[in-house]
Amino acid sequence: MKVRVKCFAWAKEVTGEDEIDLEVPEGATVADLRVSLAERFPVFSGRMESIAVSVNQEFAGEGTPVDAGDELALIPPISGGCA
Amino acid sequence: MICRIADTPIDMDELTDSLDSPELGGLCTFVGKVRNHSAGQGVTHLEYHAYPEMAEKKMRQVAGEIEERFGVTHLAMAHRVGTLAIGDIAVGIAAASAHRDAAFKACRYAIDRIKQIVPIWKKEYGEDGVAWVEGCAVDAETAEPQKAQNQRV
Repeated sequence: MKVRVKCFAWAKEVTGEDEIDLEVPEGATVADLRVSLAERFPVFSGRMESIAVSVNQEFAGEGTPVDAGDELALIPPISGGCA
Repeated sequence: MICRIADTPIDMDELTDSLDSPELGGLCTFVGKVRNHSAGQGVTHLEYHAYPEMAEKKMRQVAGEIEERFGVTHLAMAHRVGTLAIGDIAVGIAAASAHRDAAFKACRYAIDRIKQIVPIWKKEYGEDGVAWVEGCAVDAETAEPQKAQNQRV
């Protein structure tokens, strides 16, 4: 199935897109999403640990299921506020 | 309660006025401004980017944590996005309670927590080039922050 993933900040720059479509197996999880992401954009492979994935606006662990209807996003390390 | 991602200047009076109530004797504010240096390098301006819907949701989560920890329910927080100049307000927080102690604690907690879990990104333009300032990578399993390295672009 195809899922749509929002890209922000560094992730948006390296993909060149606000949103990308990734092909993942039926019943896929966040871990499967990362595999598809790294295949399509190898630049992510080196720093996957620092990229969080959100599912429906919540940070999601590797086992979280992803579905075509979910709102998915790649969240690079954040830097809000002001020191 | 105000929890807002704003693409126009932050008005601190609006934030504090929203907490105006006769039982509130302590009002604490924090103003985060764009400074002209970072890690020893000059900074000319910044860009803030956000995932606005999730950011406002996470700000409401921060507000919920503050109520749980400190019993403070009178809060206002706003974070700018877009291109900001030196001296511009990047983030404004106001917390009010009956007495000062809880207001101070709530305000401090709010800014620290925003930097950890609210999806907002800062791109720094300086003498030395451009970099995404990466403060906190969020650990997906715990939804809690871990330390990150800045990414040059």
